Amino acid sequence: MDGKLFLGTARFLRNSGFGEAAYRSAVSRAYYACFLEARQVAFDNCSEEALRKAGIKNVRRIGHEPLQRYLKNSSCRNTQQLGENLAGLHGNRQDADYNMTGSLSSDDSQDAIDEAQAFLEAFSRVDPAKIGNAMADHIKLTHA
Amino acid sequence: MSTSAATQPIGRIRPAPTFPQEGTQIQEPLAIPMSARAGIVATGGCLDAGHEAVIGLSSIIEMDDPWSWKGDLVQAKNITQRTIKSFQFGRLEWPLKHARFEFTDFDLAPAFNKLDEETAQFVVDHDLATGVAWLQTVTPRFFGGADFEIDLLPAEDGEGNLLALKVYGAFNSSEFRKRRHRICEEMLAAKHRGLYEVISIFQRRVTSSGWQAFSWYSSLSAE
Repeated sequence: MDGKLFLGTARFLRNSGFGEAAYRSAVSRAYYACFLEARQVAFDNCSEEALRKAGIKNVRRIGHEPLQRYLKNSSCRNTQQLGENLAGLHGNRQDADYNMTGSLSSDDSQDAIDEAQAFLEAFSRVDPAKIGNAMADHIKLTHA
Repeated sequence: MSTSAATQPIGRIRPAPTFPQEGTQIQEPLAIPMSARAGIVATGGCLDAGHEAVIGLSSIIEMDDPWSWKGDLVQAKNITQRTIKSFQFGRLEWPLKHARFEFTDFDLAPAFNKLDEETAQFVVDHDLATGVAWLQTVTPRFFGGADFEIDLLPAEDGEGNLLALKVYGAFNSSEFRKRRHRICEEMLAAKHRGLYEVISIFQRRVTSSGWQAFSWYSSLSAE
């Protein structure tokens, strides 16, 4: 399944009328739409040598936080900003899923959906090779 | 400051409160509400009107339920002591004493923030004290004085933790994104790369009515 489809799920949940539990779930799905897309593109475009060096045998081995680091450490500012946005979406998701103090509103879930939409649009405009190179470069630096 | 002003809902932007004259002695405990989540309890000392934090026995307390401290200043003082201790955890130089409570129409919330023990330990372990202290002081500038907190988010299995800067604001997502990019750029320019690697910045919307006023706010008896 295409991970981006989770953005539609996020919208469905946000509009479901099931209240805060649905809003929190929407935030989570919005994040996963972005994470799964970014992860796949990074894996598909990273060099074999770098993947081998990092012990990444399949796409599932790319974790949440490492993926953010690959993007944030890119030499391209646009890619860095994608990393910052992905980190924001991830933090939002962790907070929504695990922090039950405080409340999360319908507006918060809409914000997450808007963020995810913007991320996916911006991500689609970046040359996939740049994403792969960002990952490979970071692996070279950290697995010397 | 007048009592009537204290019972008005306090929004993110509000008229500058009228502080008493510099040098005014505090005759009775004074509460200066900053947001729904925290306030300053001055139990003695002297106000430096408009700028520095209350000098002397001033403290910052975090109130999850502001109504519960109504009239119970002994307990508030106890909470204050615990808060001060958590600020001192790890001998970090929090900007507590450097907080600028610039009550202008733009800058409202001070850069105060109580880190819980786990977060403070993470900051120490990862050599992030300087970066986090910097973050506490600049965040109001980048997010229009919005209230915020710094918290450690649970890690996925086998992964590193995320340090969250959670901003309680009212920005639309596009505007928030721009502000996040600006603070991240400044973070890198200020050479806080370690912080940049682990930080997650996101927003929680404040209510349209703004923050809650504290009902137990009392004006200075000297006024």
